Amino acid sequence: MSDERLDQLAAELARTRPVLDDLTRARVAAQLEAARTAPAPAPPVPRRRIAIGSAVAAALAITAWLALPASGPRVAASATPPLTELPDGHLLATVRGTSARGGVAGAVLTLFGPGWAMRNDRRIVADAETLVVDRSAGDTPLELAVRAATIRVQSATFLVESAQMVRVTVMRGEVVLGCGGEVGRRIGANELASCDPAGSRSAQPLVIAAATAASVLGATVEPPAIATAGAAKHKARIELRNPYAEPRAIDARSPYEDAAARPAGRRPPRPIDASSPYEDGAAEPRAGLDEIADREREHTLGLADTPAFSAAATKLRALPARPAPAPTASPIFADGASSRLATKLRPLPFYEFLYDLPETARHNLAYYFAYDYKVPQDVTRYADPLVRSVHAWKTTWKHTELVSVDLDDRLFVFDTRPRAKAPVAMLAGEDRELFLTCDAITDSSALGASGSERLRAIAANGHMLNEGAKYLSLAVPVGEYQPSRHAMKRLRPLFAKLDKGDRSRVHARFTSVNRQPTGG
Amino acid sequence: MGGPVKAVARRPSLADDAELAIAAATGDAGAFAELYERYVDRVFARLTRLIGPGPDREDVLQHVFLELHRALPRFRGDSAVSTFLYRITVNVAYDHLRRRVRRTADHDPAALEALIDGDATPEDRARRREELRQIFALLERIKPKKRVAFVLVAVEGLSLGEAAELIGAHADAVKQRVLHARRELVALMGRAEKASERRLS
Repeated sequence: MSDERLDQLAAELARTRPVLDDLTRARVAAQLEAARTAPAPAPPVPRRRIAIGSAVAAALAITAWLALPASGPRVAASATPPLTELPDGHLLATVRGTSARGGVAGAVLTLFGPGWAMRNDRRIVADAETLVVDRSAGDTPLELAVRAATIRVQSATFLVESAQMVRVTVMRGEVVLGCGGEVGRRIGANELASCDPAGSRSAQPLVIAAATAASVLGATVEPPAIATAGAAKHKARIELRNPYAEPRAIDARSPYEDAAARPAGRRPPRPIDASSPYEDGAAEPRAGLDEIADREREHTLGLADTPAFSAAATKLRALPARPAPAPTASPIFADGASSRLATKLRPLPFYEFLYDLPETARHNLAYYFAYDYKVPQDVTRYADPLVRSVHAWKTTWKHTELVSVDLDDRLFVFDTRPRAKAPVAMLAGEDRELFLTCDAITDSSALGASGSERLRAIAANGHMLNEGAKYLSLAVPVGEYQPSRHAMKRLRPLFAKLDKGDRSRVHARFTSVNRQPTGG
Repeated sequence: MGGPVKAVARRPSLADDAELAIAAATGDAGAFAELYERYVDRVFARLTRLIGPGPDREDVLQHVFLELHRALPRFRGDSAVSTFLYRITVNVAYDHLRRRVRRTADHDPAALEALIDGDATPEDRARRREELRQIFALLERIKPKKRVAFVLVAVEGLSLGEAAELIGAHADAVKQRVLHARRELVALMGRAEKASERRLS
């Protein structure tokens, strides 16, 4: 038996079709390319040679230093390009596969794309796949906000990774990391800490934020040189494209382009657009529910590499700052009577904590809004019955039973639900047959007019589910289902409604079930 | 909206594998890219079966092609490039399994789900996912040598000779490993069944 089962499992494994997704394929190719082109590590040198070499090098260095004129340069000019100080309110952005550097209040900020950072005095709001901050000195602390995490630094070198959750690795010095609203904890050199992914997940995709920030900045200030350089790299990258690319969707149909280009309107559709055309040979994404969230995220991040995004970003920079949307333009109150009810529409307060952006930008990216009523009304009063019902249902459903016991000639249905119309029902003859037949979904049209009539009567008691001509018995037969001790406590009072003879038979059925192990 | 992205002009695939391997060995990055493109899916599929659908697969995949790049100058054309590459794949996977701490945790259901083709019904998917979880959990519990031999012969259907060529062992040794693996897996399954029966009773 086990041999057969093993063969079956092996066959199942052989049937698998692992598919390397586009993003991973490109990422591996890029990593491979980087590793391939990296200089080979120097061969190990014997210890004695190191000692001799060090001594010679030290002697040469001292001689050279002594020989140099006092005013002459003692250090060779660095090949690193000069660092640009990021002005207030400017955006430092970079796309996938590239990096960008900027100086902020004595710190050097390096972003590895896709990512962006914006400065607001001594505060930086950023979101990037990887972010390195090196601050050697500073009179006042610098604050860095990445999604739900806030990092305060005086003097330290640290790395922030935010692919899944925000993870901070400190190489030198000390930082204070706060996640969400919690009190910050100190992280010292060679220590690592992360923020709960639940907190990070609430952040909107960085592409939207970057696009929105770009749109705001485009109207108020000159596009920063760094961002322009990033855009140029981006264009070059698109023209070159990834040589390892496989067939893919040929039209990104970026929903965010609409979201960014239109001042107001309906909420854009989901990022995955099933109608996107594909190149010949491309495999459409699979429709497994589990994959949707991941694919959605990857798709969103992948938008940074599409010409559509590039075009949208260029267009956005040229646009004037958009006014705050009128309440009637809200995605929630776009039409209907509700637009006449609501006023003072504003993004929910949490956006302010997530995005340190101007008010107009937050209005543009928010999906969820707070509002006031034009005519004051007591919402609690009229919503209360519904809230109570929902609460009652949520708390009672797990403590109720709807079971049936078949005694061959008669069938008893026990119902402990609060709204039970017939807590105990006895079905005999044709009714019993019909109830048992409908243990699976059954079409009553095949049962004749009288059958349909009887089913309707049983369904009226709430013991069956009825949809059109189809019926389904809801009671779970005792035997397959084993009521728990607590369930029996609730059922036992119902036995009192039975005749004496039936009572003992039904009771025996329950107790015999309770004694027998199931599934054996 | 930007215009549609045009299909990327690819290198013509007329060159055979050996020509590409020679060109790649002499530093032609395009030839190496072509080899990568030709084989990456097959290597990925084989790796998945050998080491499971864990997140480490991506690193191992990269390692395989890096090893290929290093080994190409030694490629003399005695065997097909595919065999050469699969041998590297098997070796890298084996090294990885040997170094990796044996897992007891289940694989991520999403990763298992991704292995099942799209046209299966939800019930079928659930059943197959459970079976995959079971087989990967069992494979985690046997030694890497036996695991590799079992996957190549019993799962991928290679002959003992073909598997022996990839593993770099004698066919008889491979046969022994497969038999032992099978025996151990059956015993593990029996133990698991008994434990589950005990739990139920």
